[in-house]
Amino acid sequence: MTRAFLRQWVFSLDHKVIGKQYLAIGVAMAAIGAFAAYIMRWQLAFPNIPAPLYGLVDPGPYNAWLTMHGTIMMFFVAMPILLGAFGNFFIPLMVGAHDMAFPRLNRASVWILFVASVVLVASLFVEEGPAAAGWTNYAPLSIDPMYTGVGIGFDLWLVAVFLDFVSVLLSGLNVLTTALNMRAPGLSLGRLPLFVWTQVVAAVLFVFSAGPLMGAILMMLGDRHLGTGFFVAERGGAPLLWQHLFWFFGHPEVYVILLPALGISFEVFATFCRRPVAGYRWLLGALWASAGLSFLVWAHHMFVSGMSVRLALPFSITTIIISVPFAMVVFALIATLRGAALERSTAMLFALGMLATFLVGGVTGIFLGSPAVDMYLHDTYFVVAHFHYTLFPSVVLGGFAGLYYWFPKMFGRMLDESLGRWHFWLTWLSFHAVFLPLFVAGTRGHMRRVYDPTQYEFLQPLLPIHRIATVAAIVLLASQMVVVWNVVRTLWKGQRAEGNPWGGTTLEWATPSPPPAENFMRIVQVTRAPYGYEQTGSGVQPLPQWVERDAP
Amino acid sequence: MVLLWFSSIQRWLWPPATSTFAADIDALFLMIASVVGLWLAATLAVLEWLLWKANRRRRGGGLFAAEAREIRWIVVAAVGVFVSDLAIEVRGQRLWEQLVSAAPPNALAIRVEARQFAWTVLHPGPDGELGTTDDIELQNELHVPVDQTVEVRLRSRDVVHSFFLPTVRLKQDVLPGTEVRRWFVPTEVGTFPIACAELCGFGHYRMGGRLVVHSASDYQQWLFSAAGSELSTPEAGAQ
Repeated sequence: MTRAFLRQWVFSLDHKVIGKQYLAIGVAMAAIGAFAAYIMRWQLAFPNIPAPLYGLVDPGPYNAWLTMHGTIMMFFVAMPILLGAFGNFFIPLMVGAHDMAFPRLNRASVWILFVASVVLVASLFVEEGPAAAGWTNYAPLSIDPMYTGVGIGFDLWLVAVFLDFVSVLLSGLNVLTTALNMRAPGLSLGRLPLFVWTQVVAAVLFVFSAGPLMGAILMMLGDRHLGTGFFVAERGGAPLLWQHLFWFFGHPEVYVILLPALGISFEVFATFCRRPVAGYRWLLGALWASAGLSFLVWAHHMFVSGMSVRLALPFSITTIIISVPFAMVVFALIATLRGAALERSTAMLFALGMLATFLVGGVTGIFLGSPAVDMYLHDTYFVVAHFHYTLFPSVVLGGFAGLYYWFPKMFGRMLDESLGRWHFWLTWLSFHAVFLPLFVAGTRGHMRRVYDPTQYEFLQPLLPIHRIATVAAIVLLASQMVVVWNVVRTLWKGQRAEGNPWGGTTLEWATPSPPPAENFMRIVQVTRAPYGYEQTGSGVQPLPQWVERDAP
Repeated sequence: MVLLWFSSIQRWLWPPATSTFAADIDALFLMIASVVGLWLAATLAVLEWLLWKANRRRRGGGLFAAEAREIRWIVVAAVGVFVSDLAIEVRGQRLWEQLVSAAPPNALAIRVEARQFAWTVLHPGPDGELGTTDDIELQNELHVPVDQTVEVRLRSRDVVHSFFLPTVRLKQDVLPGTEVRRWFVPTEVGTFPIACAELCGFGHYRMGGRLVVHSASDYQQWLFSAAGSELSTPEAGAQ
């Protein structure tokens, strides 16, 4: 019994088991991240009134919760779910492989992530509390305990993030090798599904950007314990150096998260529009161009940081130019609706909702990319609203599009579509009710990360905005009960899924749902590009990418 | 009518504008808002229109045609975005150059030192020079005359703070180990907020202060009474 359990879960090398474990870690961490959001929102709307399920929020813990929210959502929810879960589960299936290229490395990656998560969660329980300098962890606030009263919490944060990066690095190498070397016969790079391409670009981005921050983490540990002074002015260091290293990683990181979410929506759009995604090759060009540019924009987070003001011009130009490839991606998705024979589904709703929401996030970035306007809006709720309008559609709406689309393949049963529609509309509308008002709080000059805004006279009239946002945030969190219920009920007694329930054309649909241990019973030969459909007498029918043949 | 709408939206969106730059920054914001607003509206309109058409076609099936035409759309739209970007960039860059330029020589220099969790403001006394015995040191209060160029010299004693004057639209991070200088010209008499905009510890939320803008004559009066009260108790000053 224990042996079988260990073999199936703890030491299993099956990419599908590992993918589900990533999903479990991501969802568990999301619950903590959501709780952190609830505590922050409560305190902002009802300062100094005890929060139900928590109690009175003090300024120190408030800073800790805001730090945990950002850290958890970026590193322990977005990456594990979009890269770890969907990447692991579907890259081998979509390239027609029986597993990832390095199954043991894959097993190690998920265990390292698990340890990293335990370290981060453990920091919630140490005596002086967890790290409390924001997810950006600026020096020297994060270096000397006399500034925050937090000691080991910062070390645990640094170790957890470092381990998290080790995990994603290893899994990124695995993704690259699998996508490039394990493709089924006939699956040329030009026939690769776009989801796999976005995972490849994301892996390249992560592998090239993580190093500097991992080095910076070690340097900061040195500053904290060995008396080095990389980021400490009195010891000859530069606080700005941390900011440069952090954002050199931090901006590509946004695309590491966004690209796989876009990849999901490409798949969903093609399947439910019953036609190819518009401009496949142009899209690939746009993805690589935005990836390349994302390495050259980091200092737009630092226009008012005190860095040389001459640097504002080049970084503002690259920042604003990056809107061009993204505009192409967005227009390609929209053009895909042309001549579409649209099939309604929850997955498509989430993908469309993601597109419309991300548009707002994209255009509000233009304001912040202009240094003069950024001088006023930097570090205000305008920034908070802007990046939630980019990350929420990617991680949450994109993630749910993937879940509703691929759940039958992952778990062999069909999620309830009408519950799915309720879930979408509740989530989508309450999200806008949280973050649209916060744009106005930002233009009114409301600084972010302020524990009790009523301390400032000019912020007192903005309390109603906080109340609307908080009530909507509670509705948003509560709405997730709908999907939890849907998943539980479906796993228990949902309708069984056939191999290709949506009429998809890519290789993951060539297997039974859920796929057996080695994925493919027979050899799949890829004969055409993905997303082919043809008009027949009984409607538009998929032209699968593959034909099957017996092993020689 | 348009002006009325403009001023009402302005009151609703921003705190009052009380410096020479403030109106320029607000105007740049509105320029960007109109450009990207048009793009957003047009894009959402096309999205809705195609969705509506696709919905009607459901089941019947229409399949796509002419990929070349779609690519032409995509490229033309991308070029349009690029041109809009350039317009925003050119206009924004000119304003930024002004915002961060060196202060004119007649500027009134004031030293602001940040620490957890207060601003120590050192004003030049009646002699107009910083670093002399008649300097006026105040906590969380910055006194300036209206219509006079003021240069703030920002330093931090501990962590990174951010000196933020919402009505002036000025924000500048304050770094330990480096002095950063910015300037502004206040255009309205009154009392306005000073805030810290960079998370600096558990007391970050109460690191506020007051910017007091005096008329020219009031400023002279304030200057002499503040300096006088310091000078009249030299022992206290020496400590």
